[in-house]
Amino acid sequence: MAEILPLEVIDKTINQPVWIILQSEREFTGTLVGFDDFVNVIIQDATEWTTSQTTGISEKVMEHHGRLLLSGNNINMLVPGGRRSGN
Amino acid sequence: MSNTPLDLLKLNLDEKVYVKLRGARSMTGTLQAFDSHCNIVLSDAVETVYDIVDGEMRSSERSSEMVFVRGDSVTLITTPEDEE
Amino acid sequence: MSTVADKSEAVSASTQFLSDIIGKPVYVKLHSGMLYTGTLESIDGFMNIALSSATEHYENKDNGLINTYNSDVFLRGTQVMYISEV
Repeated sequence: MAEILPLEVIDKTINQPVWIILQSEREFTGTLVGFDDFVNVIIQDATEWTTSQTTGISEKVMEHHGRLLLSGNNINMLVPGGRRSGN
Repeated sequence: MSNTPLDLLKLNLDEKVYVKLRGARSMTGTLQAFDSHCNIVLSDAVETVYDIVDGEMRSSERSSEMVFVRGDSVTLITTPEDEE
Repeated sequence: MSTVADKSEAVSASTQFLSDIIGKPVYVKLHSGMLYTGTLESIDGFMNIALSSATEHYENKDNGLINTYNSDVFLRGTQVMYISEV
């Protein structure tokens, strides 16, 4: 079985939709356009959400036009392909 | 980059500064020293603590001649508006 | 296959972004939810940020203006959640 490094998965997501979940009740969706070794990520045309951990309901905070550099410090999960339906 | 944000902070040494802290607190005072962790020393400092009592915003103040503020709690540093 | 060369290219993606946006209007959000918008004067590798002509809002610009800062505002890198192009 070929060994796949986690950062390779992120690399393959470049120019693809991505869904990023922070350690707090906050999420971002958009197109992943870059990242670095600290997993700071750059998202194109990001939408920022807050999601209640009790109800699971997401509320749009704001839409960003252009690029957004998100600090890797508080990223919990990065989901290639974007937001799963049913959320 | 020639002027990092911390380089620009040096321009505020010996000047009055307004420092926003975590947990609805702020301080004003004269910036005596700071380091890369944003540990800072202020002289003639006034700390303002905001809280909500019965749905009303209250603030209380306390003064110190010289105070050390640990960098952890610092979120923002600027010049107080009334110094413009 | 990801190579060392790929990675150094990716590193320059974020440093490239930072040098691209110097002098431009930006949004900066802190972990507290405070949103600052102003002109990016300077930024370092710790995401310490200096903004000029900054205004302060909570979460988004539709929520009321909290403050206007006439002099440079220093924001501490550890508190920064993101920086984005306006």
